[in-house]
Amino acid sequence: MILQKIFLKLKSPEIADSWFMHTSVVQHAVKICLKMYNCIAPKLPLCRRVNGGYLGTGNQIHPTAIIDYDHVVIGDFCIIEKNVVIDKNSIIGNYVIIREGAVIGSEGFEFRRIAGEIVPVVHLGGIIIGDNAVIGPRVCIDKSVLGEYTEVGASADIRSEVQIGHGIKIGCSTTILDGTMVGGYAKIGNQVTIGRHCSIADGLNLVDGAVIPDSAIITRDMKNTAGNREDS
Amino acid sequence: MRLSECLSEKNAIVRDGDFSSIGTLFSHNPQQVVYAVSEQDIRKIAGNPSVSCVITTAALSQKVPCTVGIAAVRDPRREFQALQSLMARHPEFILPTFINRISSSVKIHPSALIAPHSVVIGRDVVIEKNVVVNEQTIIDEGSIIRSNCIIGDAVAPFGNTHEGSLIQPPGGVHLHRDVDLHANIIIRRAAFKGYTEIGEQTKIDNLSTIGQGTVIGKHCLLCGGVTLGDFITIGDDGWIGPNVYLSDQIAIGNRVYITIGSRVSRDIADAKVVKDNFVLDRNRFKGVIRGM
Repeated sequence: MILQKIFLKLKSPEIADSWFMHTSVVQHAVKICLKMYNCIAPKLPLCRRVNGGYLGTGNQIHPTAIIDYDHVVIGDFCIIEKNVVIDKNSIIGNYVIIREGAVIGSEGFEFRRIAGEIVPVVHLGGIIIGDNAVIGPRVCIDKSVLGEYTEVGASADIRSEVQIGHGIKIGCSTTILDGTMVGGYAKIGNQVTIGRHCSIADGLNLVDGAVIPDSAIITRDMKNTAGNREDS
Repeated sequence: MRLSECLSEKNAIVRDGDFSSIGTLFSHNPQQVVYAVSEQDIRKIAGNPSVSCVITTAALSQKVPCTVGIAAVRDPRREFQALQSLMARHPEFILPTFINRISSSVKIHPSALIAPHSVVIGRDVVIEKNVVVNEQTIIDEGSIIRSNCIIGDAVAPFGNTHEGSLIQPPGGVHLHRDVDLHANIIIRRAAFKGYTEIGEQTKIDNLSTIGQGTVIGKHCLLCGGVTLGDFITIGDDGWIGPNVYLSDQIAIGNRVYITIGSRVSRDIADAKVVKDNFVLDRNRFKGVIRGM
């Protein structure tokens, strides 16, 4: 949690855009530090959140699904279909359905342009999927950067080809329709409905009960649901 | 290749000519053969010096410039697609096949499928679960290809052939050094001796689709759900936001920043920030709104 706060503070514009960070000595120092962090951090106990996997009873797992059973917890009565990939540090609740070709727990998209080079940031977090959630075909859910979890709430319904970026918190009974891209660190409340092919920028807050129409591009926080919902 | 050697209607040749590639009225492949179905198309032929042969109808063949070879047929589009199918099997237009060259330090997951021939994979490449790597793919050292990607997806370059048969385009895919492809990405093969190229250290996020013959420069970052059309050129150091669509055959400059959800349908100069969400030209769109 403290690491997450330090990381977000360093990402903030007042520090990232300051003249001090743009001097070549600092840039090279940051690059070397980041590369060292990428090498050392996976070996530290930070990332080993799920040690020793657990597989519940009554699950229907297709033989072509690829699951890292040693570092994944799967509850009871789940259905996991063809070509699903579940990477380590994933925790999946009871009665979850994961459809064909979904990729759960892949590396997130976090890169730094430092001193003329693009340096990746290694991801150490994991994923929690609540009970009764439905994950559609070809959905990608990325793991979080630091020791946090990307969270999908209970009874969430995520349809096909949706991308859930790193560190997102999705509330209970939220529906996200086909082709929507949700940027990193967004917080989506309970009972939110997001339409088809929407784009949601990084780090936004969507309040409980918000309704977002198809093809909307959301770049600011939604503080209330007025104008989006007939019953509000 | 001569135009008279490859057409099914032998008496269709009005003026014979040589060609060495196939293309559209917008493309600039050397000595290309194109098809024209309207007077507007004929005017475009005059402005495109790369056109060496044209397949058109008998009525329009009178208006074609005298420097290009002409074939007058009943259905130019259908004849063009049949020609494309013929070229896909002709040794003059396809890349040579060779034995796979895979470095010993490559990490390939057992569920990944690598084509039996014509694949080069460099040092320290990581290929994860369920990845499909098709023929004529070159992957340079240090690249990472994550789960469920398809490298070298095959589509017919200029529309499907007649009778619904799909041809295999004989081009390839070239991933340069340190490319990082995230989950569920599809990269299409280029047409006829070309390569779809992804530049050095370029990173592409989940669920993106890269069209055939597209060339992406060095150090670009493409966010999730980006859909690139065919034959696009993108410069170096670009940033393309989530859910962006780029139309076919456009050129994007260096250091271009395309924001979230944009739809781009025209060329963009260097160091521009694109915020449009209009497929139409913006001024033209405003004019349409004022006129209503």
